[in-house]
Amino acid sequence: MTPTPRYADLRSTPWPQRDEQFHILEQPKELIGEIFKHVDYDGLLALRKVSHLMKEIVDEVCCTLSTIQQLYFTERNVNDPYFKIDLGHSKPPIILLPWKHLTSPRFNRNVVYVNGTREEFPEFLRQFRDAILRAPIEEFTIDSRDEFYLSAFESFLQGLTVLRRSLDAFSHPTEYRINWNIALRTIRRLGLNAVEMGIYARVIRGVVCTEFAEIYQTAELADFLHLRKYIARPLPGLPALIVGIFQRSCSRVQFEKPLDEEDVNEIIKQLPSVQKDLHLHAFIIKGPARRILRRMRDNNEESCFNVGSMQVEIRIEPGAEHGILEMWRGARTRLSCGDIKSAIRGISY
Amino acid sequence: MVLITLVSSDEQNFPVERELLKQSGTIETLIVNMNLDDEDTDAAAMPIPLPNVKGDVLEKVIQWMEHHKGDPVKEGDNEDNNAEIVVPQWDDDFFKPAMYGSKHLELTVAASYLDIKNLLTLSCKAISNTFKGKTGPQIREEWGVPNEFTPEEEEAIRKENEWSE
Repeated sequence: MTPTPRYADLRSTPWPQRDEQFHILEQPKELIGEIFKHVDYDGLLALRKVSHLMKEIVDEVCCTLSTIQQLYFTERNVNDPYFKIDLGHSKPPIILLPWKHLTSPRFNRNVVYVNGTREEFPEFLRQFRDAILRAPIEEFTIDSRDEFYLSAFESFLQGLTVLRRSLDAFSHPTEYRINWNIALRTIRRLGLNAVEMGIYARVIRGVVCTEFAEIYQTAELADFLHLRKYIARPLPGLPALIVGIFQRSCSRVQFEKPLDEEDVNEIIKQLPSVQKDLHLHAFIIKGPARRILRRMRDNNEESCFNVGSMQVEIRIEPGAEHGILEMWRGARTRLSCGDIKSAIRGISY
Repeated sequence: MVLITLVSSDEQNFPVERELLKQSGTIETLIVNMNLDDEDTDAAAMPIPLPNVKGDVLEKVIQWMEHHKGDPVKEGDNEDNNAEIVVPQWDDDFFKPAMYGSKHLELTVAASYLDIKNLLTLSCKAISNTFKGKTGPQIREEWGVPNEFTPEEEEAIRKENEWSE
């Protein structure tokens, strides 16, 4: 028995040549699965066409690999008997689904749309859950008030790892406003921690009247509020609204429509009085944002500064439509869908 | 420097630095459990038989471990499924001559048996790269897999995947 020389030069020790074949199909399924885990989406579809065993292994691998970044459910509208699920930036649990449900991701390969009829929904959801049982879902959003779908998702969500469970209450705002209790009940039933909702206002004889009751009620239940306003005119009382939200259970707010300078000044003044970890992300109209930043520069002030124990940052990102105001105490947590998209790494399609 | 002797299935001896063997979960467990790295005992002189790895493949494994000496050893199976693994240039050159062949597979099987996680991951990734941009029949030809599908089955699978084409 002669010892093989160590530190051998790679080129001088060629790969072993042998007559007998060491066939891929004769290897343990787990090992083949280990290889298939790294195969891109198109490769997996091609492998399904190679042999029975390979097809079986691909399907098994997909069960363990699925990662759902965004799952958005909508029942469409009352007169339409179809449901629709968008799977954004997700690895392929989809190849386990009944094919007739799927529409081609031809235009945007990062989103797969699943369409189906109401009758097909329970069976679809069962198969889908089996396929993603071990998959973490980054963001689940539901836009439905239909008891049929709500109860289905109640059991669907049990045992799944879902980072952000969100209710999309932007659509049909007037219907929601008739009975906001439906939304509140949905938040409780599905254990939702985020709500995307509008700020409603009416103009009566030229005066803008706002109603914040639903927002405050929701802020008692949800950790994250994504607020949009439906009226172009300035709204009175926004700084007080934001402070009021943070005084409740909610600790993260994203305010979508841009604030004016007066609102920004007032928020910076009032918000530090709230003594808890929180994060506000709001847009500022670009003109005032520029003015604030110019003033700070003239006074040799930084655009990121402290007010008490709270950190404040005002910035204008290149090419952005609006300026940004961020205020936070504790961790600056990820807030928007856009941020989630930018955080996605290396998903092959 | 402590040397530990590995014996391949075809009875070739490979004296290997103790430090290198920390990359192999299987061998590391054996060494620790049997006190093989204690120079004061007879156990240190005991060779480790590896009945599932042939000499020429074991030699390639050792070459790989030599190059990756000191690399952090991956622990556990909690990989991030979304993390894209890039095969470094040296490893790519190392695997390339054996690509599409049973030899690369043998190395992958050995990496799995010896529980060398980094080698297993890179080796699997290198194999998986060979499927990129290929059709089912092309993969079948390259890997010598016979076509066992009936025309009806082929049509059924084609229909299943139709939406993505």
